[in-house]
Amino acid sequence: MTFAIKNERLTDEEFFKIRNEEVLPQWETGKAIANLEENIAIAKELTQGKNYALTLAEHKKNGTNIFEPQFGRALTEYMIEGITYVEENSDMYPDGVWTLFSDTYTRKGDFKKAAAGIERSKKEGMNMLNGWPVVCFGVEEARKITKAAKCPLNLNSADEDARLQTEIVFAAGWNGGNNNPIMTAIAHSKNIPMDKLLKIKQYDARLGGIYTENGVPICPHNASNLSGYDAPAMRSYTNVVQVLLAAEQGIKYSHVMHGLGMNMIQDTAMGRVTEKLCNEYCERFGYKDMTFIIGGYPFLGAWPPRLEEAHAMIAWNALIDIMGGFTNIVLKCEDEAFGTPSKEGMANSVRLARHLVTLLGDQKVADSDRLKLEEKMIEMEARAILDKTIEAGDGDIAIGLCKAIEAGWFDTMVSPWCHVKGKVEYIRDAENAVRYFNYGNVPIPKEAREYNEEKLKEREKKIGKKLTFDYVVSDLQYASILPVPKPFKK
Amino acid sequence: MEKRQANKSVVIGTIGGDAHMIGAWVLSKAFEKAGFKVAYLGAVVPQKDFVNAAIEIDADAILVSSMYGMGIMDCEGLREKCIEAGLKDIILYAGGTVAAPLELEKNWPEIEKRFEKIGFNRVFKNTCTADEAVETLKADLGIE
Repeated sequence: MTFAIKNERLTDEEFFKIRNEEVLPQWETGKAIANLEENIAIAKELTQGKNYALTLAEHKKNGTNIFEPQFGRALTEYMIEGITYVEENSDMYPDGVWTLFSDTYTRKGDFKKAAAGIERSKKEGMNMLNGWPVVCFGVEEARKITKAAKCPLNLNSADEDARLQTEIVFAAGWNGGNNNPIMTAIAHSKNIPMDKLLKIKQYDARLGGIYTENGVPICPHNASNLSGYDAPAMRSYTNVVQVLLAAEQGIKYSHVMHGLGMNMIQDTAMGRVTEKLCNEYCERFGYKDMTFIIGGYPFLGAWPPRLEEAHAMIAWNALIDIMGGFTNIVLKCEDEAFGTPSKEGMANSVRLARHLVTLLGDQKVADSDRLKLEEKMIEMEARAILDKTIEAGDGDIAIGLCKAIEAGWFDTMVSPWCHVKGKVEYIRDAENAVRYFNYGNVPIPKEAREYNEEKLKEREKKIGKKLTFDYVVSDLQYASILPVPKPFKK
Repeated sequence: MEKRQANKSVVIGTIGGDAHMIGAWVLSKAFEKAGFKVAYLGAVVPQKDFVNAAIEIDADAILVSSMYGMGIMDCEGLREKCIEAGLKDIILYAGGTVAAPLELEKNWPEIEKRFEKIGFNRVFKNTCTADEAVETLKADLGIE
């Protein structure tokens, strides 16, 4: 199959043609941001001292952690109320940044439904959307949020066509945004072919490049949460490919945000491998002056529906970030099992994570043989998939990626997206690290397979049973099911 | 009126714009294991696809999964579409994190009332296990 994509920078002519014909006319709020030069000037003014990219980069340089709570509500007043509450009740400033998320109707481009959700929320007197409808509200409302927040802002738009959302929030001085086509396809898409999706994402990245070149650095989220349940090598691969795609469009800062599998050694190894490969492959393709801020996103599988267990999850994920050497600690909160985060829940999470940083001092995961072995395996696997990708694309990472998905070299177990093979299967080992139960078509080298088999045997020995597909299914809920109290023996 | 003969068949999917499909996937495995015929529609499924699949397999029930908080709005109108399509006896279940506002999630009787009002037979909390869902449907169908 041939693919209608190349990893090449959009020319100004291409960019502005797409902007004027496809992006701004999507909704009436596109009119207010027609003048890009003016947008950049206002964004620059609004983010003096609170640029998202520069704040992340500074923490990375200083070796300090940054906290990133997440929030999204249907109405602007709810947004400002929530942001102010968390900032005032958690000492988040100056070591915090925000991810604000849009609602799913907006993410899917159904702005009429989002508008109806705004009206419904007003009528019911409560929040009826799962995020802030960026496009319906437009740039002036987004700027109100920028002005109300002390900490820098990022938008999580998490779906196929976020171009108008990205235009609006960049113009309002939110300097993050999403640039993760693989993540988008795996977690949120149903039918879109990868080459078509990459074309859309090139626009977001090029827009970020233009802002960066004009004095407003943009640091997109380069996320590898994927299905919530994936091999670390798949995540490293995802992060590296997404860095290369964005770098071609002029992106210089990348928040390399890993989905955590929740095994400390394995996640630490993953973060290290990704950073190493991001540096190496960018150098190989000639992308200079790149800054990678390594971040961890809390486990994206099912969460426990009770306070104590939820706090254990928040703490364990934050501990992995802190001890694993991740700069950015993205936070979920105690409401995760029930709905979108409340302001109280998010303030609690920031306080919890901050106290862990205080308690831990400079403690990090020790440089051990075990850690090195885990790194070796993840690196070997990620390189195998990356190198096949580059070879298949004849040096073009975009074409290579399309081919890697088609061939099932890159794969996930459960995804709504119809183009991914879905042949690979995962299971946890005796230490709850994520291992392959079925390799599908993923080109895992022999040595890594042997290591994987060894790890599966350890669990079989521990439980005294052969591992079957039933464990693959039950492992999906290992973190969320609460134990039923056992009766006392007489 | 004569009640239709249950034939152990269900339609399962994630409704509206919701891509969170692991719950529906786990559910589909559990129903298959229990001997049901399952039309598993995956994620981001429009109401009409649920109805069409139910007609196609002559389903006893439609099991709607919703995780992202906008389940109430997405489920409104599904009962009417079923009735229009001649599926007036079909059982409708919804489950997951069905309401974005925590004030609603923490007021479960209100959620049950709202789903009853829009024609759903039952609504399940996200703490429900797949096996519980299987057992509940079997009981509602009066089958083993």
